[in-house]
Amino acid sequence: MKKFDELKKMKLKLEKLSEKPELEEYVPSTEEDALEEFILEVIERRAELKISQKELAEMLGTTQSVISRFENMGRKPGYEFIRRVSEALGGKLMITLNGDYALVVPEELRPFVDKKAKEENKTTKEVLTEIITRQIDSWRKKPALNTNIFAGKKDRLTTSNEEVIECQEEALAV
Amino acid sequence: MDDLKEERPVLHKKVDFQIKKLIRGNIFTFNEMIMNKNIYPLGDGLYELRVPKRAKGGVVRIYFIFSPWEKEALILLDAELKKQDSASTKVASMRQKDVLKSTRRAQK
Repeated sequence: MKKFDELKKMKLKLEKLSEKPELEEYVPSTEEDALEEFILEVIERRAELKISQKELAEMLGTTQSVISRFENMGRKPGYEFIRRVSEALGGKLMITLNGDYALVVPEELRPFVDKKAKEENKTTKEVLTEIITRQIDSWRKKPALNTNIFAGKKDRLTTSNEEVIECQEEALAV
Repeated sequence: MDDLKEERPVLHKKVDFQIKKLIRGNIFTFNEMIMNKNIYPLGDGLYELRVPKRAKGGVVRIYFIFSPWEKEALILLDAELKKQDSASTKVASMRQKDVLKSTRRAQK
């Protein structure tokens, strides 16, 4: 009889919980934007490589539902899982304290950076640090002239890929 | 979306995330979202994004079409928070017609 009462109480508790739709699945708070960004990167990379959730699951030795749950933020992934996902998609996981100051070089610009690094016998990181430091330094010294690497281009908010590449090439040539 | 942010912040976060997924993915992930029933084709080129797929408190339905002007770009037509099963696509269909009309005008 006691057990029956306990079960009844548990059932009521569960019913109360399910009345709150927000508790139906795990949803990250605004502080978890890093995880959200990582998931979006995974989706983007999968889309580029045309790797389905099922194929990714096979690579990782897991099931499609695990990948689906991960991509829908159905559960918090562990470090080992996200490292394996990164490697399966040809990436390299990096965790940083630097937030917005850790930059990502767009995929289409990476060959230029690699080329420059090879020419100068430097690592990719060294070349990027040099480029960014030089560019920021030039803004600092001549704020009126060099505040915009897109200066001289048409005055508009959007810029085509060709223009971005052109500007990057100019920056690399400095 | 602003109302949703104020009244149902968690649901707003979910909707925001699903829209970002649509933007960051491509036609490959779009088809996957149809297969996983996150997106429902309603016919005549109209699609519905449902967030979450099912919930007692109602789901947010976002109606959209593919842009006739730009490849792989989407036009969001309408959104609603609904508890009923059926979708009310009246506003979305009207706006879809407007988009098609303006495309035809531009072609002429």
